[in-house]
Amino acid sequence: MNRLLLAAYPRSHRSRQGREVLDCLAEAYPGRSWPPPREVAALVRAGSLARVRAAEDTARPWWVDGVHLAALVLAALALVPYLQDVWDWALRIDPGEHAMGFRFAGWYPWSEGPGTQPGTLPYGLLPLVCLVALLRGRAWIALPASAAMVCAGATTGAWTFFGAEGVVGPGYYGLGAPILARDLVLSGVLTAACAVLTVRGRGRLRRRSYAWLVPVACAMFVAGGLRIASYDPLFQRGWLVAEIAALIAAWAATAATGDYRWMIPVAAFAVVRLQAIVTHPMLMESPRMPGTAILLGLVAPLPVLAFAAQRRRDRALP
Amino acid sequence: MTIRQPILTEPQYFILVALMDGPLHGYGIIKAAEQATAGRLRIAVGTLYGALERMERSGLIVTDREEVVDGRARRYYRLTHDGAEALGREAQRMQQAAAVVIGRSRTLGAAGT
Repeated sequence: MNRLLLAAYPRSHRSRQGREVLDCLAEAYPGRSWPPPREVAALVRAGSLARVRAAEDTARPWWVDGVHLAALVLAALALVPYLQDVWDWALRIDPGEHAMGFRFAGWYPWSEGPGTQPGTLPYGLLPLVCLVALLRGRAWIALPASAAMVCAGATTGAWTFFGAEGVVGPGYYGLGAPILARDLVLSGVLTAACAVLTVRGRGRLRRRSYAWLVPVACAMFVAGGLRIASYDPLFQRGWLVAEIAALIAAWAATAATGDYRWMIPVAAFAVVRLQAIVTHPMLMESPRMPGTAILLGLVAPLPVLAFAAQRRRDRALP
Repeated sequence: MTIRQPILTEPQYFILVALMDGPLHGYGIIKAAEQATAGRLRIAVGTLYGALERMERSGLIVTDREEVVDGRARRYYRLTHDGAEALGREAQRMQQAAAVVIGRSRTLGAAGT
């Protein structure tokens, strides 16, 4: 049987039970390299559950894991509008030649204008540094980067070391309201989370695989390589689907475990989204309203779900 | 104060039933559960191993032995005393629940004739 069937399982499960599971499948479906869809679905479900439950089997307090997840979510949210900037900066592509949204504006995120070399760093580099550091459990690296995000947002127009575009420009993605760098709620909550993790999570934060950077690189390629950037309706629809999928995953994890840790990133996400809606209420009248309603509809019932799951879990096998 | 006992899911119940006659390996359990339910329940492999792990963690079953047959790894699982007790409790609970309905059905049937 194909080992890819075990991809959903955490590594520890694969090494302990993987061969036995594959041999059992081979016995049940002799001569086949791939079992029926029903078995594949059961393996994906069981592997995902094992992965979620593995997160609980640690010496870390649940809330430290929750804050860590929240920080990762916020860093990703902050990075999304600037994927194209980071791509251009990394590959030394002059945005004056390629950027669709900036050409008419006459100024650029990290260069003075068309045909010039980059003068400052792109703002998007800060959330990217945060994201990579947090993935590897290095909150002490993410903390100064997130603090620099607050500084860049708070000193609009005065401090452009990280690119003025990141502070005042169309650092935007839709779904109800834009999240701009100068809206300090996102960067402020991210900094607070990084500070908590630096103090309380020292040496015991989960280190995730570098493989988690593959979707980040793919998103960067879409935004920078294919030029489907954050202000593009196609990108925004894709991102809405990604956010809905992430919220449904949080629902599933909470329902399966009755664990409150998944609520912390959802709460952080809701705070940032609500703040953007309150700050830009006129955008609620736009066609983006349905997307926002879906997201908020997925967020609101989560505490009830967690409470119900906790009660059900008390009556099930551990 | 009553102590709540964990309720077994249907696959968990029939996995324990399959182990009543002695240790079995994964595919053996699937076949035994299928036979016990006259083909109604075919436990998916992913579901089986998830349930086995949880029940092993709860002390309802233990690994009896491991062997390799025709190049295939086989781990045999055995019912523990706690597992047998949990199975007996669950069977009694379902018997009580079924008796309520079956008793009323008879009364209803008699009243209808």
